[in-house]
Amino acid sequence: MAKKHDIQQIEAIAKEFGMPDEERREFGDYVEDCKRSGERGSGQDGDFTYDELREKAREFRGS
Amino acid sequence: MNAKVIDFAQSREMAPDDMGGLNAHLTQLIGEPFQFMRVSYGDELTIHFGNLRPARSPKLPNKFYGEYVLGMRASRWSIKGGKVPLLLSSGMVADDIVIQGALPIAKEELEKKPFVEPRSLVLTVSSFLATPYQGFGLTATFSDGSVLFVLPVGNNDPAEVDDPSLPAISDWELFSPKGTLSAGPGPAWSFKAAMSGP
Repeated sequence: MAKKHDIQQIEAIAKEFGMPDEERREFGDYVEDCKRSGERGSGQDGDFTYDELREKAREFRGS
Repeated sequence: MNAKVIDFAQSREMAPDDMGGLNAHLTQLIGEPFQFMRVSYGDELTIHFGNLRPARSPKLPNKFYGEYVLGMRASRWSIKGGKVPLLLSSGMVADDIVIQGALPIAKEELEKKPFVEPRSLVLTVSSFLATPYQGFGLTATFSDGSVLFVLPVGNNDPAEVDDPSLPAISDWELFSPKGTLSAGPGPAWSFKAAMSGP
């Protein structure tokens, strides 16, 4: 089943960075792509921590 | 003639028992072709319908999105294949129940396997009040005979209780050219018209 906490984190990051819904959806896919390509976060099961997701958001936006 | 006109242009948040309003927004999906399923971060299933467009972000080359995207968020869901004798399910059956023939499936396989035949059309879609789960469920049927069934997680499962330090998320949502329809949390829904800003 889906991991509610991970989805809530994406929602929080999207709000923090002022992402519209469509961008938030693409950001979630981007983070998933990063994970599937072998990147590991330092959270449980290789999930990204909030701070790591913040960094991912900056990376996603190219800043 | 008994025709009806539904205006999606207005952003509205209705009373919890306004099932008619919620169902009106869902009718946008009727007649749209199923394209593919994708699993997003947090193991969220998304189902893409309608014409495809490339991602807006340059960080996602070669990734496409349906004109309509149904996101399961953290809901439990099942898809009963119309042409394949399979039930794809997440969270609908307790982990400790033994079911003959039930096997785990990897995300990549789920995305590749045609549980719903590509280009099948949405024939019906509607929501319903799922009282034990304190929210709205959703069901849809497709022209290949497949059936989608979605139930909110609710807060009955201790492992799925909201993290109060983070924003609450909807139980499921539908992106469309008209805007974003969000069901939940709880028996409430909202529609944010496109171009109305975040």
